[in-house]
Amino acid sequence: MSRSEEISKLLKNLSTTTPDIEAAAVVDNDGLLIASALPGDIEEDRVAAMSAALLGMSERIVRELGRGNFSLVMIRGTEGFTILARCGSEAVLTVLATSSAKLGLIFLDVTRAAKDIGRLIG
Amino acid sequence: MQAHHDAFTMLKTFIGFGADDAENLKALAPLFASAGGAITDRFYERLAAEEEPSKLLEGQVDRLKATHARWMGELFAGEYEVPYFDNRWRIGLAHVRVGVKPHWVEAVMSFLRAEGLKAMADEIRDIDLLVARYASLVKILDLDLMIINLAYGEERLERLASFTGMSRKLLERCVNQAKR
Repeated sequence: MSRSEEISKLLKNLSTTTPDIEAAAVVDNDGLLIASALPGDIEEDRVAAMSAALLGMSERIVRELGRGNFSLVMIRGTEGFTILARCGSEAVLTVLATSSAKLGLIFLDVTRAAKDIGRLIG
Repeated sequence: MQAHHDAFTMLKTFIGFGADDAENLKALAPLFASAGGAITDRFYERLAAEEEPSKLLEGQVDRLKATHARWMGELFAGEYEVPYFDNRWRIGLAHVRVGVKPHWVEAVMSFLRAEGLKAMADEIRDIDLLVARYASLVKILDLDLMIINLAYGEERLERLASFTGMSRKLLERCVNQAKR
């Protein structure tokens, strides 16, 4: 199985094992899509660029405000959550979760998946 | 930087800037050595009358005039290769550093096109020669503008990349994705 296939499998497992996770994608630091399990109506390239941009900015804020090491970003909308976590030093995991999601479980699964993907990307 | 050097070479070829232009510009050096000081003075008088640039000029007019005169002298030095590009690039960076808005660079080029033609028309009676040398002046001013504006844009993007933590490639991707 190729790395790309392994990452895609991890993304699928993420939404299968955690029903509150609706979709996920992995993008590199330059905003290029690596793998995705996003709904068909989402413009993947735009989401990829936005995810990398938001993560870059978030890391700067954490550093600027002396908040230690960056962990993840969570954005809450009326229809659900968007969570971004770093996968190693080269990529970002973006996850969409329902508004009723149990965040503790989501954070745990997202962090674990991000670590696994980071290892695969190297 | 190689890509920018290549763009400079491409643009020179595209507008037909060559050895004839270098010769024309060198031939204009004595004329602008004598008329350039007055052109510089008039330009800075105009700038001083404008609220925004006048703040940047405070206490620095003599130094800036000397820099401007040096820049003008280099226009007519006859050398327009990579060192020329790099020198103009540094001018662009300096403009960002001190907060000069890009349109003031365009203003100085416009000023020199108009004032340069007047000075040349006073001295060069042969209309064909006047046209040929003026064409060379316009070309080098446009090349300068291209380099300075390019440096200006690049430096602003670099600063944005540094501030946001976004890579240059990502910034370019965001610009391309942000369709209206």
